[in-house]
Amino acid sequence: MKIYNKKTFFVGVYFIVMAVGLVVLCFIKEFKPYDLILAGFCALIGVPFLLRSLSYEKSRKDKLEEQEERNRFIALQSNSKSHQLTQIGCSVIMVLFFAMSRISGSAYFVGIGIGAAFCLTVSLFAEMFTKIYYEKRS
Amino acid sequence: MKTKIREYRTAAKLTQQQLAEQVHVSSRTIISIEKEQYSPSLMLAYRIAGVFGVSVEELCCLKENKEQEDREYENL
Repeated sequence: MKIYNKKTFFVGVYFIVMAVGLVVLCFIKEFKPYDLILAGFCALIGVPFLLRSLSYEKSRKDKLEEQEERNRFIALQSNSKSHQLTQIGCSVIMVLFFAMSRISGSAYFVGIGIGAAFCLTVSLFAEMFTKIYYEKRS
Repeated sequence: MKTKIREYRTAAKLTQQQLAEQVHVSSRTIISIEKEQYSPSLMLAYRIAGVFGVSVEELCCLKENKEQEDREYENL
């Protein structure tokens, strides 16, 4: 048995470990039907991934799909757009909650605003550093 | 970017899937290029040109596209 796609293999292993963990927890601690259903879902996701990583044909197909130039372009564009949207979302949440805290005088809203501001700052710094990195490399 | 891929493909009686298999991409990529939604990389253009036995310049209407780009640049 050979692993042809390590990435897919580890995704499969992760979900199976989650499923096994949930089942074990069900028996050791309290039996919750919800956990058992969740374990079933995890196994349903994990097993196909695991089988796929062990098949040469399917792994080759996955790698070709991953390396295809249009797919890479789409991944690049969607990542960039989602990053922009996250920044806009964080900015809106930050302004909204700071304004709400100002109106209501509640510290609870300030906390959420600070959380959003922190996310926005991390995102802006990450963007700045990756830009410097790629400016130097290309 | 405007290309002549559809014209050459239909003349060669190839389906999008057949062309895609010959140049190692998915048929969706060929569809997108033909719809002018996606510009192929230089290597992919070279591969496709190789299938039809034409130059990349001819396949990708480079002269026409350059003129168009120049016009857009001047209008900036």
